[in-house]
Formats: sequence, C-alpha cells, structure tokens
Amino acid sequence: MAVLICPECGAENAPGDESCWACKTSLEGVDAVDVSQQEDRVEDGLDFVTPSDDDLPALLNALKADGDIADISEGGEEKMAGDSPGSESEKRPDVDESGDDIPEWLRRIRQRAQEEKDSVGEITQKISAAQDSLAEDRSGSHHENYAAWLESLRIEAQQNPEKADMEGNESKDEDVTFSDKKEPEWLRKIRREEGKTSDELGSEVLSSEDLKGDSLLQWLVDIETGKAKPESLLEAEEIESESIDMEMENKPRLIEGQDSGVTREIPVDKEAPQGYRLEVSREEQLQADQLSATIVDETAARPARETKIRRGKWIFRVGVAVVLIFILSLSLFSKFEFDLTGDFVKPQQTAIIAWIEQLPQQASILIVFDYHAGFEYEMSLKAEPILQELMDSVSEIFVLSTTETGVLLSQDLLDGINGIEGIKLTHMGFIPASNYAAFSLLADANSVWQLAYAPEAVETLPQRDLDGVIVLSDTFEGSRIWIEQHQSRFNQVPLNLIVSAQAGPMLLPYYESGQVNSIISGWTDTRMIEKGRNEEKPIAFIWQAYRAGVLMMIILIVLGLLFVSNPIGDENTGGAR
Amino acid sequence: MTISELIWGAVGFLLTVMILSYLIGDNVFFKLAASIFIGVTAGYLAVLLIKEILWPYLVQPIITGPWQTRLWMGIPIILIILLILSQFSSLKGLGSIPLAYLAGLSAAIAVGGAVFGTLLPQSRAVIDAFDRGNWSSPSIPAWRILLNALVMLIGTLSTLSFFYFGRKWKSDPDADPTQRPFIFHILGKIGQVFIGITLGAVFAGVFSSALIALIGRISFVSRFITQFFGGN
Repeated sequence: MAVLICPECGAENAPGDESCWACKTSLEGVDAVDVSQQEDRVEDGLDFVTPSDDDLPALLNALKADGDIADISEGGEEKMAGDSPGSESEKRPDVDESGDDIPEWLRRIRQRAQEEKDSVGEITQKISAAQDSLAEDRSGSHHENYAAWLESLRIEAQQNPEKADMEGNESKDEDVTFSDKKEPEWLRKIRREEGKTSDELGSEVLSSEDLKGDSLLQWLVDIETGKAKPESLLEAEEIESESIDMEMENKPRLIEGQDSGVTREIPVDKEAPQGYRLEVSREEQLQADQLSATIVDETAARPARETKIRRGKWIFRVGVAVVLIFILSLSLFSKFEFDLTGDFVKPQQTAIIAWIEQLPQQASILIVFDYHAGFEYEMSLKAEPILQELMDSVSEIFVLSTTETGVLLSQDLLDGINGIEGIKLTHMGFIPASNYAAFSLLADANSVWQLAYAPEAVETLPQRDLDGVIVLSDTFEGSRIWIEQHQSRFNQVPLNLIVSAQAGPMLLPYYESGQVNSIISGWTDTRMIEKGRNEEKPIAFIWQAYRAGVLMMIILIVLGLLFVSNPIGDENTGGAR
Repeated sequence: MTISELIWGAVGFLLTVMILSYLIGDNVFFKLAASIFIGVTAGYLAVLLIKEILWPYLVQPIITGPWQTRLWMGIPIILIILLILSQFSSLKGLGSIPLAYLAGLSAAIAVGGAVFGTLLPQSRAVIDAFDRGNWSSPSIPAWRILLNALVMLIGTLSTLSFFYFGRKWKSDPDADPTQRPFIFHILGKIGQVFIGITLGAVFAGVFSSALIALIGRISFVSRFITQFFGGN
C-alpha cells in the first residue's frame, strides 16, 4: 500500500493528502512510498538483529544501533556470522551509512538528527552522556575494562575464525538450542559464573581479570547473580523495593528457561547502564535543597542581628537592675513604713508564739540548721525574733547542722541572741544526709539502731523527750524530710518550721493536716512576729523595700505581657519559615 | 571599725560587686568570684567531713573504742575500700556493692517516710476536712471550712488525674490511643489549674527569696560604705 511519508515528522499519510495529519506540513511534492516494501525492509532490518543480539543489554543495543561500535560488531559477531556460508545474515541487506539500502525517510531522519541535536532521542542522549562521562573518566577502570573486553571479543573472533564458522554453521541446525550456540561470549561467561551451563560450555574458564575488580563485566555478573543492584534502585529502594524484588526473582526463571532453548531477553534492567547516575525525585530534591539551606543557614554569619539583639537585651537587663537597685535603696533608707492591720496575721504565725508561751520551764529543744549561706540574711532575720522569744523559757538547746555551712551559721546566729549565755548549748555537729540524720536522731532511744554504735550526736540527745523541734531550712525538700521522719517516729513533739519564702507555699499542706505546729516563711510572717512583740527593728524598713521590689516585678511582668512581642514564637517558627 | 572588720568587710564588698557585675554579662570578675566560692566551699567541706565525720565516727572509734566497736567499724571500712577500688576499670563492679547498700537504705528510709509522713497523713487530712466535728471553729465559719475541704478534695483528685496516663485494657481498637478516658480528661484539665497556681506560688517564693538576698546585699554594701566613711 502506498502512503505519503511526512518529511518533517515521518508520519504516514494517505495518498492524496495535502498536508500531514500530525504536523500539518505540506505534502506537496512528496512521493508515495510502498509501505509493504518498507515493512519488509524494516522487518528484514529487525531480523538482522540476531537472537544473540536480543540478549545484549540495552546499552550495547543502543550503542550498536547508534553506530558507535558498528565496526566492532562487524568485526566481531557479524564477521563471525558472515564467514559462515549460507547463513541468513549474509543474505540480509546491510544497513550501510552510505545509504544505498536505506529508505529515503530514514535517511532524512538521520540527516536531521545530525543537524539538530534536539532531534536525538532521550535514550540516545543518555547514552551519549554516559559515553562522554566514561571518556572523561581517564582513571576509571570501568571504561578501560569495558574497552578491553570489547577488544578482547574482536581479537578472539579474529584469532578463532573456526570457532566463529562453527557457530555460524551450527546456527543452521534447528535442533541445536540457541542458548548454547549463538549467545554472546559475555553471556556465556555470566552463565558459567552461575554454574548452570558450565558442562555444556566445556573447560573454558573465565579469566580472573574479568571477574575481579569493578569492571563492567563483573558488575553485569553481580547484577545477574543478584549480588549487586543498580544505584538508582538503591536510591529508590523504599519505594520500589517490591517491584525490584519481583524483578530479581524473575531473573533466575529467565535464566533457567534458557536451557529449554527459548529465546528471551537478558534479564538486565534497561536502566542498568545508568546505574551510576543518581536519580533524584522531585521530593528528594526538595528535601536535599532544604537540608543544604539549613546547613548554609547554620553556618552563615549574621553578626549584625545577633549583636543587635544581645545589645538590646544587655541594655534592658542593666536598666532593670539599676532601676530595681535604686528603688530598693530608696525604700530601704527612706524609713517610710506602712502600718499593718491584724488581718494579715495567719494561724501558722500565731501558733509558734502560742507554743513558746506554753513551753515549760527548763525546756529543751532541738534546732536543726538546714539552710545555706546564701539564705543567711533571710533566715537570720526570721529566726532571731523567735529565738529571742525562746530565751525566757528554754534551758537547753541542741544544735544540729545538716548543711556544710550550718555549723558556722548556727554559731553566728546564736551569738547574736541576747541571753544565750545562760542557756546550755550542745552542738551536735554536722551530719551530711538529712534523711539519715532525721531518721537516726528521731529514732526511739531504745531502738536496735543504737545498740551497736550510735553516732555521737545521738548520744548527746537527752534520754527524755524533747519539748520541741525547730527546723531552719531554705528548701522544701529539706523541710519535708524532717516532717516525714518526725511524723513517723517522733510525732508527739511539736515541730516548728522557719523556712525561706521559696519553701513556704509547698509546706502549707503539712500545717493544714496538723503535722507541723507552725510555719514562718515569708517576711510578712516575720514582720507580724516583730509587731506582735512590740519591737521596732530594721525588719520593718527592709520589709518596705521588699514590697517595693515585688511591686516593681509585678509591673515588669504586666508590661512584658502587654508590650513585648513573642520571642519564643519567633524562634520556634524560624524553621517553618 | 577594727582592722579585721575592715578587711573582711572589704572582701565581702568586693565579692558582692564582682558577683553583681554579671549584670553586664559574663566577665572575668564574676568568674573569679565564682571560682573563689567554689574553691572555698570544696576546701571547707573536705575539712568539715574529716573533722566532723571521718574522725569522730570512723578513726576515733577504731583507735580508742572497744573491740566490739572496732569490729563494727570493719563494715564501713570494707564499703569504703570497695568504693575506692571501683575507680579502677577492671574492678568497676565492686563499686556496686556500697552503692547498692546506700541506694537501698535511702529508698527504705525515703519510702517509709513518704508513706507514713506524707501520703497517709495528707489523705487523712482531706477526709477529715469533711468531718462535721471539725466545722465548729469559733473563728472560721462552717461554710468556709466546708469550702476549703471541697477545694482540697477537688484539687487532690484533679491533680492526680492530670498525671493519670492509662486507658482501658480492652478499649476500642479504632480509638485514639492517646485519648484518656473522659472523666480523667476533664479532671486533668481542672488539675492543670491547680498545678499552675502551685507553680506560680513556688515561683513567687523563689523570687521572694532572691529579692530578700538582693536587699541583704544592698544593705550590707551601704552599711560598709557608711562605716568606712565614718558613719554609724
């Protein structure tokens, strides 16, 4: 059947068409072509690809079709085939670049392909890129081994024409299986490597050079045997793992089928020649870009903004500190005092005064110093009024330290109490662990713990019950330990707490439950005690400074809530942006 | 002002100023003062432990005590030796014996104290708050006592519910595993309020203590300057 071949796109058009149906190019002057002849020629051309060529990997087919290794093929396999008289390949029309037997349309396409780079197909472009890459890699062993292998094929064919003739003659024999006779040398080596056709292939042994190193042949062998996977598959392993596994599982079946003489394709992925090219999806590319941007952003220097923020913070911090110190100093030295009403007095404050008033004459008490030097100012101001009140009824005081500086702090505090000279002071020393100290000291005098060897501090305790225990502590945990041990082993003796302001709120439930007789925590409590004793000490003025400082902090917090932006949000959303 | 008071007052003044210099950022004066405090504390603690612990409770009983006491002292000596030997890599396992003794003893004392000193008394306090016999206070009206008891009960239950992260053993497999039971979810939301109030009170206490310490330092510095220049 005659058709009109479009000179532009090569599409077939019916005779009589004025323009191409595909590209609308005018078909004026185009001669009709008999398609049946062309199909025969094409079929002949396809038949020219021998069964052994079907087994060639895609790269080799593409290279061969591209003409780059035409001479090698002609010098190798085709020569072997051509030397055999009567072979079918001898009768087939050769596809010569001179164009003698090439149809007109194919010649035009080739001519355009040479003139226009864009007309080259994607596969050809990839192959060309791979060839360029290999050519640039001077030290790459892939190219050398590949070239050496191809050269060895040519030399082997030239040196053993008998073998080629024999293979050519055997190709006529229909009873002889293709896989044994016409398969290429490299495929036989692969199969020999797998050990499936070693008997049929005789005693020929693979050279060690072909199987060692990272040559292309070795890579093909590894692909065939499943020892290696194309890099592109490794990159997309999670996504395409199932399809890859199925493909790899199919390979042995294909190889096994070769024994039955059925023509089949080499089970090598068409993308295998591109295995060394990294294939990156769009999502992966975005992630890589994001990672690169993050790394660059982390290492990028931004001194201007950082300096600005730090300087601003520094100025703000110093400004607040200066204002705070100024206000505190002003309040401290102004001698201005607010009068307090009795409504501020709390039950836990009055309880300690009531306990002191109810103490018997010649009472003995235990004072535990469980605070550190940093709280000395606060604790001494709170404890002084209480200890001063105790001097009237107490005859013996046992002093125990559970912090390192407790010994010194106790001496410093007690030395400042008027009337301490007439009191019997027993320093029990320092016991480092509050838990052990509380447990051992508050244990029953007849406990088995004291039978063997009791610490000296325990032996100094009176054999009778104490009249009270006062714990001076700066932390909630330190106070809680004494409360717990006291409750479980010594609960008949009143326990009084003089603690820092930071420990007070957490200890109130113990007062509510009756485990603690009294609690003095904040400076308000201390001021109430002082006011109840009708004494005017510096506590009143210090308390004014304290209130001024609290007021300033409240103002700062409110201003911060109203005016300061959301720095945390800015920091957290930095990555998202 | 005596010479001794002047010297130690000057040292205290300088150290205070060096610590306060942290306001302008980390600097060498602040580091110097901090290093002095750390070194003095470590040295003082070492001397204190030897004087107050090792000598009276270990060395002196061995030297002067009867043979029963010396025998008893063998236990801490063995534990001390094991702890020292554990510093060698090949004998590291020996250190687990004294550490296990310490951990076990601490746990026993702490757990006993927590159960009998906190858990049971606090639970009983919540229950006793609803006792009508405790409502007859002359100073506080009964409704306030009852309200206080209710707040304590709700606060205790809701706070405990906030820290409850369990779910039914055989629940709907399609249900969200992170979703707590409805009642615990509601009580947990209420518990957040109580926890927030508690943490706010703790923060206020910490700030209060820090403010008092600052006032104390300002008072000390002003007093020193006043005395240095001849004031009272």
